[in-house]
Amino acid sequence: MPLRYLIPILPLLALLSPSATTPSFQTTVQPFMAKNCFACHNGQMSSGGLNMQTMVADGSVLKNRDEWEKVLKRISSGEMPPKSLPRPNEAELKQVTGWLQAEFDRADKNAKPDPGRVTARRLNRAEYNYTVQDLLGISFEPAADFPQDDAGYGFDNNGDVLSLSTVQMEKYLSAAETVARTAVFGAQSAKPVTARYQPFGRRRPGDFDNLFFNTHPWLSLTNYDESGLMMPNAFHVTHRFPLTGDYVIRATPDNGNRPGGSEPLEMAAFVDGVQVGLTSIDGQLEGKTQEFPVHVTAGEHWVAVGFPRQFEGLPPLYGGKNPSKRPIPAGRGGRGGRGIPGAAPGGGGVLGANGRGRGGAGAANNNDDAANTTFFTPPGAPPGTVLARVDNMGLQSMEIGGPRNADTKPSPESLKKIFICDRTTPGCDRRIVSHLARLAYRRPVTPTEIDRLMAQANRAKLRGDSFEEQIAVAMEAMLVSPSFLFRVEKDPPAKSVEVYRLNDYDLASRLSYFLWSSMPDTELMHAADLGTLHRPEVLNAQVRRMLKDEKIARLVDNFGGQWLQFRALESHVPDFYKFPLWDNYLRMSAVKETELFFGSIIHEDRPITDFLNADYTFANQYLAEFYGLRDVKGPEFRKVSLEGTPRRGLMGQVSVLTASSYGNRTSVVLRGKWILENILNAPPPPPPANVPDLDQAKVGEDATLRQRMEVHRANAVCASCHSKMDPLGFGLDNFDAIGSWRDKDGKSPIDASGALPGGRVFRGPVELATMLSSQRDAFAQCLTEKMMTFALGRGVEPSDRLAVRKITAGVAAGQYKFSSVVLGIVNSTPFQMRRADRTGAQTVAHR
Amino acid sequence: MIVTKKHLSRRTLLRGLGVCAGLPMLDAMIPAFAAPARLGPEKAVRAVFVYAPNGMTMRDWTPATAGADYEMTPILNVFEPFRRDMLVLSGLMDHNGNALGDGGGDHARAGGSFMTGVHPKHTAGKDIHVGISADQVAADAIGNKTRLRSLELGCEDSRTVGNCDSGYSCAYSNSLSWRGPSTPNPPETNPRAVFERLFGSDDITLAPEVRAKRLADRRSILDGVQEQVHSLLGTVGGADRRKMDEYLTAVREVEMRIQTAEKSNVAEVQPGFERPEGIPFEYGAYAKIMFDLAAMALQSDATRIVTIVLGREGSLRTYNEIGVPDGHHPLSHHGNRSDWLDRLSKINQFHTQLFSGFVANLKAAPDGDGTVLDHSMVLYGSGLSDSNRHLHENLPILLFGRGDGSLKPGRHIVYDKPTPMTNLYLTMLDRMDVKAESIGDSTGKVEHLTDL
Repeated sequence: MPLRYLIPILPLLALLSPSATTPSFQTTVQPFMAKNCFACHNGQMSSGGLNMQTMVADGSVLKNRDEWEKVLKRISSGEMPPKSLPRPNEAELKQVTGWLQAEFDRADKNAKPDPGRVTARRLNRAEYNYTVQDLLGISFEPAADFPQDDAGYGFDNNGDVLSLSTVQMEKYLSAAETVARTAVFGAQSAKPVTARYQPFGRRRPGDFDNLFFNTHPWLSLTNYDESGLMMPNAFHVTHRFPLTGDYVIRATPDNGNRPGGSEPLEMAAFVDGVQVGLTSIDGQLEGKTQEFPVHVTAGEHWVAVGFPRQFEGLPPLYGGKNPSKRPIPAGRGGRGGRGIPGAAPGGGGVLGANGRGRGGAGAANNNDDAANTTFFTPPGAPPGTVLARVDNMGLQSMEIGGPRNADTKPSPESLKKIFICDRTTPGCDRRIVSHLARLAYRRPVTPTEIDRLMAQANRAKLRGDSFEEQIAVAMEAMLVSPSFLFRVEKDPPAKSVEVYRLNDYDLASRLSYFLWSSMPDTELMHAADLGTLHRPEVLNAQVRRMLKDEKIARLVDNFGGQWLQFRALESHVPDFYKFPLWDNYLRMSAVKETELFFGSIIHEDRPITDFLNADYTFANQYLAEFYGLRDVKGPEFRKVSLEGTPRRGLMGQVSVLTASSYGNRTSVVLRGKWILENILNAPPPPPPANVPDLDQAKVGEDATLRQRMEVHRANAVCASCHSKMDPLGFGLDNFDAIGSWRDKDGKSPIDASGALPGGRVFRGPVELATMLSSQRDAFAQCLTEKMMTFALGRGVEPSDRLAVRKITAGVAAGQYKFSSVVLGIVNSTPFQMRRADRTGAQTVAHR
Repeated sequence: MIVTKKHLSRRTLLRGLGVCAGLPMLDAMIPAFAAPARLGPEKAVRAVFVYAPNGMTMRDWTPATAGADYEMTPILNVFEPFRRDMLVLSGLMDHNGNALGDGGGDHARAGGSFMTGVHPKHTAGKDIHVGISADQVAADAIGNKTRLRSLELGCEDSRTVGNCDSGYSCAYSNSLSWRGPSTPNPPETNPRAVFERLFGSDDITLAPEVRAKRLADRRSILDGVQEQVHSLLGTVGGADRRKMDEYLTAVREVEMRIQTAEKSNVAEVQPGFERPEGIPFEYGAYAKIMFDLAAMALQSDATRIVTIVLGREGSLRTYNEIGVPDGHHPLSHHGNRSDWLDRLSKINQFHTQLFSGFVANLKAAPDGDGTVLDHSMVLYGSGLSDSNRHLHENLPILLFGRGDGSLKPGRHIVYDKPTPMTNLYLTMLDRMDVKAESIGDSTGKVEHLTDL
């Protein structure tokens, strides 16, 4: 409001209410505290480690800003004073929160702006791979063998934490050689090798019954995944292929067979979900290794082997589709007698199924083992009908061998990116080196820098190396240069500058590593060359363009995978015996689901509340079965509606539910903490140093989880945090440790009621999701801080508060669209500016 | 750095190392390997540090009596064959793992302080700071005598997710070895990468002169980047400068390694097993191959300093293969329930069992006038004792080997007065002729390692 309107109003107010003075700390906050807080937060009790009696001086609000920020958050959300105490007067409360917020805002406005200082960042493994790929058009992942990158503040792109060891340096040297030579001369041929995989937690006999026909009673021999991929006998791995070339996928079946009279069984191999080979096996499976020759591009691929249409070609009596036209072998039925006489192959087809589905040489030979066998009862068959097992087929191992005929020519893309001039033109070598160095260093390069690189090329020239050799050596030098390996943002030379705006090149790099985990592309470099990138309209247009580019999938993987922690699934091993449904296929499907979901929120620029309460997701048949969606068929992922299911948003997805569980059980604490940290932006403080023991005897062995947790919270030390974490976690308790629905935990029925930290009560996961999404500003702030940590490569500091608040306000104004978070961050002071720090600089003479 | 020797004949196959058993050899895959690189006539005393995460089931660890004739306990039982090669040390502490006013985060601190004896700075990343670790003090002194100054191995890949422990950077729980106060030496967790580091990954079909050329290129490139980083150093300040210093240090060390490699006139050996393709699925197989690689490195004198982390501090690994489906860390907060303790003890026993294979290999490997084990000091232990209560004292520690006559094993020594772990390190280093004034919180040397 323009000032001139204010002037007449103020005296008027004063007139109307003669006693009102400007509200101050002493007139508003202090009395409120005395009334509502001191009873617990005093010198003696210091509940929650907070003694507010020492926070009564006038300047305390700014001096103890961190504490007061927390106070403001807790009293605004209604979390404090605790429910057991009388509610404060609403008007007073409003006045206090308003005054505190205004005081913070005033302070922030007057504070010297501090954009923070991002430490020079070494490229992490993902960034290294993407950068050399984008720079040189190669397609392998040289950083796969680099030492792991440590994480700080939850992300592995933190400048301070990314250190450089000797081993790392060795890897850089060796990778530089491989990368440069591959780009110039093509990949070095590799000796064919064989990698051998064994099925993940081998399946056991009867698993089919347990896994499918018992847990999925609607599935039958005529209604199942005909691709075979989701069946318990399929086998899935992620394999890294070193080179583009011909490989062989070799699958060896376990002992076993189908009922006598069946037609041959099909076996198929898949790469990235596409069937690449189909064979069939007749009779006994043992020893009948199948080979599938495939041509595969270098890099990681999802490889699977399964038995398609495995319930087809069975003897007609089984009731499967396309029954066998073969006669049932006579003479083998005589010794069984448990099935329908004459009809059941192998005399009842009883297969000795003890020992991991090893059938033995024939049905009839195993009748002695009848007690250990699993029979198949056709659905709708007359009572007492038992037939041979139909699931006695599995895989012992899978091998991937190769490459042969590896593509060892340099890719046309690489050649185009490198050889930009005709080598016979004088100075072409220098032109190439200058061109690549500018891209690799992501900024203009000085003649001295080019000279250094050319010195390497010239050294090669002197010893008589070819033009290509000379270029390759210069490239090697480029790729181990600190200017390539680090993103160094140089302070301006003028010593008087304390805070400065990044130049357009550094801005371009921040942008591209934030959204693409890689170097700026031609367009960004061009905008930087023109010096226009920092202009809001140019910058925003670039951001929108980048969000639409397919490289944005890297943001999902690197930011999303760490924020939502689905990266952890790579090494997460649920208890196989408790969760037999968990296998590599589910693991890969779960990650894919969340990636597609996240990706669609970006592509369609959906509101960020979709993360919390979307009533849609992406699923293949396996996940769909998990989610109770019966009409999704086949291995392809598609968008599905979750209406009518108890799942909403991220917290209904297998990836998040599994990553927030232990391997053998769920934990309301872990899940509650997950929500507080990643959704509500209210991470609980670390547990106290010496946690007192829970008195198990007092709890009793038969207590339900809820009872146990309540005993836990009866302890005052535990209660302060667990009273926030646990009730949130209970809302997801219907999902077990791999995200499958359950009504009971052991013997106890699940009670999925709980409460938000403010005390709002919900029942079950859907209400939890709805209620969380109504806290959209807290979530917007949470997402902003997480993404800012990732975008900047440093932790969010108190000096970033104003920026965060501004971004969050912008997100609300932008209808909570995903792009509004990204644009807010990109346009913020911490992203565009940097604090200078010259300590230690200039101490080494320039050489 | 890959040392490139000409491809080899089998005549020089390194014999006597138990690791050759069980793993088939594919001669096509064996690259050149420059080894037993005794550069001089001096004795080669090795130091190995093996770390087990999440404390120990002390109930099943500590022998009831001190002295020579103690009775083995469930976790130590597997060491009966090595009784005369082993010291059980009780009463050592890692004081700086304690909160000391910093609140929770005992696991991160246990990892960060175990070999440094320094209280890790409580930070999620901005200013990680602890101290130089004992192995690196040794590496600084004697690392230039071998091809690798030290080797850090880990049996838990940690593509890290989230903060590791109560606001502590993951660097503390991932790395036991610290090159400097803010430079962790993260362990290599991929057996193939370790293999290539030890035996080379270069294409053995390359002609010797091509390889020589490549090596010369690397040297020249390293020279070039040093020049560049020097000019950069003048223009950057604050933490950026620290990063450039780190870079420069790494470059210099790689250069030194190339020089050492070029100087050494060494016999050629074969690694004895094929290049591992990746990380085995089963933990037992994973740990075994890492131990085998370490044994190979020690016997061939590729390095004299090895750190092996069986799992990172706070590890959540589940051990289905031995019937323990619980995550290790949650299980370690057992609340003294006996069935939980039993399962935890099973994990501890699994670790000692795997480790005993390594000890056996070192004992079977001839080295000069004795065995590799005779000339080594192999420490096994954890930075927590009872991890249910996060106790950083009375740590479970074993010391194997004779340190070339400087240890008198075969006893259970109980230090009555809480004694810093770093005193033990100082003593070990002393016996390697590495004279350090102090390490972290050390107050002197420990007694009784040779006498009673």
